[in-house]
Amino acid sequence: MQEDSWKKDSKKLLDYMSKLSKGGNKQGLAYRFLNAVKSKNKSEFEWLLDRLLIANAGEHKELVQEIVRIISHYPLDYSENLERIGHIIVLGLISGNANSGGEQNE
Amino acid sequence: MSEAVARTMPDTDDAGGNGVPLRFTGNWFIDIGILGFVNLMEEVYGWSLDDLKKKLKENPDRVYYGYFPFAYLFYHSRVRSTLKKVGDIKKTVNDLSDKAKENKKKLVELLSKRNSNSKDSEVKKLDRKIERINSKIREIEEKIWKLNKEAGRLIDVLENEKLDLRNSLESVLDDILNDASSKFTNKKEIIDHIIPNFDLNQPPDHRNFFIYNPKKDLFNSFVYLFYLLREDFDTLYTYAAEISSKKKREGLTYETHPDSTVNPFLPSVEKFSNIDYTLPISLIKIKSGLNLSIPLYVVLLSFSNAFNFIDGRYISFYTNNLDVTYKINKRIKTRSQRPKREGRLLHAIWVSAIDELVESKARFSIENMYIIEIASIDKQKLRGVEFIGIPKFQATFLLDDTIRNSINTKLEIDKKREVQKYLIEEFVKGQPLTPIVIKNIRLSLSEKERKIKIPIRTAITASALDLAYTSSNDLFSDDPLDRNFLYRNVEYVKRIISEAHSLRIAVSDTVQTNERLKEGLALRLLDLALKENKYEAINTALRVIVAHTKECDMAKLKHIINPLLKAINDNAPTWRVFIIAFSLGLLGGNQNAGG
Repeated sequence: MQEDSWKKDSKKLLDYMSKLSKGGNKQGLAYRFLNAVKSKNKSEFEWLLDRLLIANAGEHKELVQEIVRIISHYPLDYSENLERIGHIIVLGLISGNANSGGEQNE
Repeated sequence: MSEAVARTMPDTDDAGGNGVPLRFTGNWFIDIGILGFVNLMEEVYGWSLDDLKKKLKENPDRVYYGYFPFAYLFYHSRVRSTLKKVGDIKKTVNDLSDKAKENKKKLVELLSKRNSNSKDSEVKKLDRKIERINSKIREIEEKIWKLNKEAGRLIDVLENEKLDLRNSLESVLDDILNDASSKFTNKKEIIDHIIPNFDLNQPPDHRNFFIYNPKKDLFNSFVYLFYLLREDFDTLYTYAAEISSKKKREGLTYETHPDSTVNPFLPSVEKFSNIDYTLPISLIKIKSGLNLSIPLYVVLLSFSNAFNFIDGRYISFYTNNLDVTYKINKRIKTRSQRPKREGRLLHAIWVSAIDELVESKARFSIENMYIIEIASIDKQKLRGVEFIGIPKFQATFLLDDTIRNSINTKLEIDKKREVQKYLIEEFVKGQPLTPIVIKNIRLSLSEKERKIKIPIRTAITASALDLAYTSSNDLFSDDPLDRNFLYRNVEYVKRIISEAHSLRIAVSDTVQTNERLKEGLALRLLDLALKENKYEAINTALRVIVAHTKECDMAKLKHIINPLLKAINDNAPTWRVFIIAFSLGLLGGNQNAGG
């Protein structure tokens, strides 16, 4: 994994994830992502990701495409990729859940 | 000389030299001896380093063969015996003060009982008790006053004796030294009266040294030292053989080949008698090898005077410059003599050392600074000797006031209160600090009744320093000649510390659940930090946020999300700093730093 490109991609991924608005109960979803990452369950992780992206594909088509493009660069077969991407997704979900009154995340 | 002793450092020309050959050699063992010599002369004659240099410039022989042997003999007879007596008195005074405190405590209790009691009979009974305790306290205070007076008197006597010694040597020293050719026989009367009540006490670092075994009188001790210092071995042997049959039989031994007889750092011939290469090097070889112009025995006999007894250990700070080393050790001595809370002494030492270095603008010196520690010398056996160098990396951080103050503390790490770690010391030795702070936090949580403060500032700084230390190669610079990169390190570490504090405060403000659960989660996170389990720690922290953050705005959340993003992305153990800050946030985050 190229560290420099990963650092840029991770920030973009976090930003895009925080802008997704649909996906059911975000707290529940974040939990399930964390469980999948913890148990390194790749298929569960992909299923959750698909669900989240499909739910937002209509409203945020371009965002979803970008997210897929970024994630596709990092094969999830490597547990480190799974852990990094999974945790960034959860961070995105958390920041998307926050009150939007304050500053924007970088 | 043993390998440790022969360890050398870059030779430097001492700035105060002025042509006088009193300067450090680059060999720490010899240099410590030189520092001991300077300290001894200051202790007995009150000469500062500059005074001593001046005297040496005027007439080195007078100092080395006249003033020095008398100073040595005076120190090991009058000074040490007086200091021992004063030490015993101080110990008794401390015990009595404790007793007085106990009685005063009792008195306060009785007075409050008496004030709340209305029964006449009870009041009378209490009055009698109060009177008894009052008289006890008066008695103890009187004893303390008398003892302090006695200690003061002993010190005054010693100071007068020093003055007398100085004055009498001023007038008779030349006469004495001029009589060397006739072995001082014409001046015996004068020499015998130079030190009143002369009674030698063998220092713990000597063993079987001629003048102590059996104890010689002042005249014989001086004559022996004179020829030893002059390295006039023929006369020394003739003289020693006259008064000792053992010397006559064995001849000169350690006099020509210095060994553990005078200093436990030197090898022992007795212990390794059958191994040729462990035989001590001859005095002549040592002197020529190190290009020493100072008599070697001045250095060997003064070695112990270079150390200050602090916090139960003998400590000496050593840099490769005599002036700086002298000033630092002098400051340390002054500070260590001030009454201090136990455990604050080491703090004082560091403050002294760094103050001196910063004041003398010798920023370079701290990079070449060493601490030599000896836990004890028992029957000439050294215990717990440490030679700690301060690497450039650590030195850069220690020069920063905020960082130094944050880790300038001792932390308990076990329930039995036996093990305390002094963080600066551990840092200088290159030991990781994070495990120490984590153990201390765990201890303060498990022993709540003791109300140990959680060292928040210390914990975050310590983990940030570990981050800098472990990743200094990948994080900061590829260019080994880039001298500024260490200073950039400090800025980087400070930025991480500031982010960690923001994270801690944000977590403390936003995570809402019961205290017990928070504590459990904090302990779990600290465990993961200790086990270096990065992703599980981040996973747990994210769970805490997902589950227990009810409402918060983006501004606060930013202080949590950004550090966690950095924690995920960095290959360096940045995550550990943030996870520790996260745990501290869960633990409240409002306690003060402390140890």
